Amino acid sequence: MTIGKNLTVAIMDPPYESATTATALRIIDAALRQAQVVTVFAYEGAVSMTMKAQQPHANPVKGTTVEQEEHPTTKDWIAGLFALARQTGAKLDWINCGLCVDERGAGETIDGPRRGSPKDFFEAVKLSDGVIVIPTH
Amino acid sequence: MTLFLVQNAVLAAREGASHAGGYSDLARAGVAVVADAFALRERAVDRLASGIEPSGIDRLVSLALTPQTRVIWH
Amino acid sequence: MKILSIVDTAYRATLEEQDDTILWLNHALRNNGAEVSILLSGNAVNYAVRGQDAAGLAFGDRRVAHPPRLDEDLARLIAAKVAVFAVEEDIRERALPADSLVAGIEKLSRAGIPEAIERFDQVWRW
Repeated sequence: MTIGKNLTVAIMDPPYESATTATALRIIDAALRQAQVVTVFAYEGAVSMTMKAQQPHANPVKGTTVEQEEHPTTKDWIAGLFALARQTGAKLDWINCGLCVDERGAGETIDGPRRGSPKDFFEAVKLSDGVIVIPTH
Repeated sequence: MTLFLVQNAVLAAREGASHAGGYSDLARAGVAVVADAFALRERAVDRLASGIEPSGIDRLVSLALTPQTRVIWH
Repeated sequence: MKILSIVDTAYRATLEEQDDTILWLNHALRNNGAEVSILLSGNAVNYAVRGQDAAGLAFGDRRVAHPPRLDEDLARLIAAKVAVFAVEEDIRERALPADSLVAGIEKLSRAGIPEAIERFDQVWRW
């Protein structure tokens, strides 16, 4: 682990709609193995990534049951990242933009993420060694 | 400067692709052109245009954490 | 820390948000002390045209109460001492009327972007 390094990542895309979701989570995973603090600012649709109510489903085209399909949910992937952070000793600070949460009704999240604002993003940026802003289109 | 190709951007890095030569030109000009190894495998891009190097996403993180580095995502 | 935010995507969710969420975010960052500048590129250069009117939208009896006024939002950013640049070629390609642009927008040529970027500590594309 690179001692003392801080990385901030800003993401915007809602889950299940863009290739950037998995890329962003891969970056965060890699960062938790290198940096001491990883701050994620989830803006706009990205706040839906941590929604507790996400559920896996069956796949009628493939003929699989829910159990067989083992459909990923982003909330589980992110829970995995929090577990990784505990394992590596890094801090994962996942901040969902509060106003974005409100308008999307995305307030019920898994354990770990917190509600925040652009101010929190800026405070994290000020302390960061690196910042990655992943845009949406 | 490093140009790090992720997601569908790696499709243009396939040997023989229309714009692959542009990436090779950049590499010859001294730009490090790197393609995400996972994205390459995901898209079965087996042969890269000259000058393009496959790498893990951890390298992107390392680059972002390098002092004086600006990351611009396009 | 000098921050350049590049806004490239235009009119994305602006009706339901009653704002451009990226102009809004950068104004919020400015309010929190960030030294931000904005570069409008691609279709986003159209935000600089005065007189945009999205009023009157309704879904059944649900009216959009406060339609976005993006030209005014840009003017407010400029009044808050945020430098707002727009890519010259993108303005020309879209034939934006020169006498209808928000006052205070600075034009930047595409060729000038790399040099401009050098002046900033962070360059974020949204």
